[in-house]
Amino acid sequence: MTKGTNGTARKRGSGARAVVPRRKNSELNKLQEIPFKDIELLKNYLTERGRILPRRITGNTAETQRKLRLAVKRARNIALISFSEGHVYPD
Amino acid sequence: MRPQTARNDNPPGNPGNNQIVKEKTYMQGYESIFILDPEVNQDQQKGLLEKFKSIVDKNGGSIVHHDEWGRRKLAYEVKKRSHGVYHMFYLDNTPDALRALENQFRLEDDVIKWLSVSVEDVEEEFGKYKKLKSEGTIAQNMIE
Repeated sequence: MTKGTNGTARKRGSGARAVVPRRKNSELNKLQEIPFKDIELLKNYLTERGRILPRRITGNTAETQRKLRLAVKRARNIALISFSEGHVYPD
Repeated sequence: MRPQTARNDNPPGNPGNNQIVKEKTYMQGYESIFILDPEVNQDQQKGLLEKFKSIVDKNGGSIVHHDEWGRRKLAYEVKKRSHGVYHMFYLDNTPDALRALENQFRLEDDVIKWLSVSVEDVEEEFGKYKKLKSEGTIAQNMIE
């Protein structure tokens, strides 16, 4: 018995591990700067809820991830992408 | 809008051996995006833009480019509005003019949000923006 990542006990070898699509290289790494107005580009690096994907999944370098962070924050500020998708404000 | 030249990359100990250094001309500046209330009519909009222009001029700056993205849906509600009319100014490198302009944005009820960023090269940024626009990335979600 080994501990699963979600904290529950799990038999070794049993149960399928979640397959995360991994890319060694991200297209963003090739860009000198990331245009914050290009929301279609940014959306590739966001979850459905609008959070920035970790770079272990996207394959961004640390530098690229910083640029992405800046671009996403700018785009959020000017209401091009939302801070949080699917949140309903209580009346 | 005096074009500025790139820094001379010659090391200080070697003050140019009469060789003309290839200088790239570029103009630093600002990119200012602002969202207008979709309720304002064309005349009011025109008046506002005139006003902004005169404020920038008065403070020694100039608007190098102006472009309108048009009406589009906001990603989230801003001041109870779900839509906005996006405009964009490219300004030359005059901090006073930008400060005055932002002050005016703050006072104006019809400007619901704005964002100013400094850019290395105004013309280059404008070119990139034009490209994005022609590809339709920016124009998307315009009508909704």
